[in-house]
Amino acid sequence: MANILSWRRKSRSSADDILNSHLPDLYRMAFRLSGNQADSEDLIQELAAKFLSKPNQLDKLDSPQTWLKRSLYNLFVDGYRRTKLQPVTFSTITSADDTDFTDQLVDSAAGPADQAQNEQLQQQLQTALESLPVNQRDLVILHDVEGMSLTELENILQEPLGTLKSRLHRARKSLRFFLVDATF
Amino acid sequence: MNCDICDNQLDNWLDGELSAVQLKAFEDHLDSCARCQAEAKRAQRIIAALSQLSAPKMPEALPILLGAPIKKRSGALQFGIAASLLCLAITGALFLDRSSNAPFSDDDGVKQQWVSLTFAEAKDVTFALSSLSTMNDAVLTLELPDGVQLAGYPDQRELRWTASLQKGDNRLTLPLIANKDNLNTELVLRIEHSGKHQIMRIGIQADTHSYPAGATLRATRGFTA
Ligand SMILES: [Zn+2]
Repeated sequence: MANILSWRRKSRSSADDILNSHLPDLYRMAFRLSGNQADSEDLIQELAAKFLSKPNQLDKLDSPQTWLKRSLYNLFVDGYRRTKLQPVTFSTITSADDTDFTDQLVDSAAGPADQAQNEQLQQQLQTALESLPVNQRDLVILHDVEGMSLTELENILQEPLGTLKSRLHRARKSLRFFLVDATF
Repeated sequence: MNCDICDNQLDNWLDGELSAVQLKAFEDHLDSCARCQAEAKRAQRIIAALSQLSAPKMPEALPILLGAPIKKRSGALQFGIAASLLCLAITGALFLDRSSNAPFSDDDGVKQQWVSLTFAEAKDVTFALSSLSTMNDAVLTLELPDGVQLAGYPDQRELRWTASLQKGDNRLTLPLIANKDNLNTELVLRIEHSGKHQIMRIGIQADTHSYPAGATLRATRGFTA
């Protein structure tokens, strides 16, 4: 009995370690998907509860990181997205002048004025992202924003590479379309 | 290479996945085709901007919270405006969510979130504002675009009032009238609280669009302000 307990404690602690090492990435992913801090924290809490409840299955996971990301995504889609009310978003962005959106991208060493412009730009990007169909939006967020490879996403989203590629193609095209009209 | 092939390879190019031979052919085409070059540059800049979108750092207390029982926290100023679709207050709101079967959203299409008004006819439009926490004395500002009136207040272009928002769903019903036909404009609702704000824009069309069956609840006539 004592042995089992100590083994369990050990497993639990190694699960904690694994979880903690991935936590910053997972939190950022949750934030990208949900768009706000409170919901990201809820998602991470649910994920942790799920993960830590099965410490003895850890050995069976091919890659804890993939498992964690896939589970996080599933929690988001199955639980969160279905039950939470989501922000209304719009596909129309209007503005006064005719400047090309992409001409206004500023580099990171920007001054205050540029920074304000950069914030506006970030807002425009967010709006454009929110205007995509949800599965395109998720893919762009995970691939282009979070930098996950399509091969990795095959396992996380559980969809074939070809499907992801054509979805990405459509998504990026739509973004260019939204943002070409997005003059400000 | 022609422009179609170039377009097909654009994503692989952006992701750095073209072979040396493909890359050469791709870049040769860009050198000779201003249109594809402009598109590729635009795409590249957008991808670069996406990769730089900011996200907050994980709260330091998060690892500590993980052992705690799951609860919904409050405190953050987070609005979702849950729905902006037209409906009669009596019939209840037609909510739009972001799940894949949401009305007005087809899987590969562009989401359209519009309120449809009928020319010269008042219609109750209900907004559901979903707040994660109670917000006392939030300031709401409504900007009406040209061609859209609040029934009973024809000259009012902007409305500002203070309201307390409950945690959860809050409904705001406005009697709107389009006084121009072929309207295609937007209504702006701004909510301010504790030095933060959120702006919502809702597209408004009058009388020119037919929506997919079942996606829209038509308002009845005879609204009186
Ligand atoms: Zn070309």
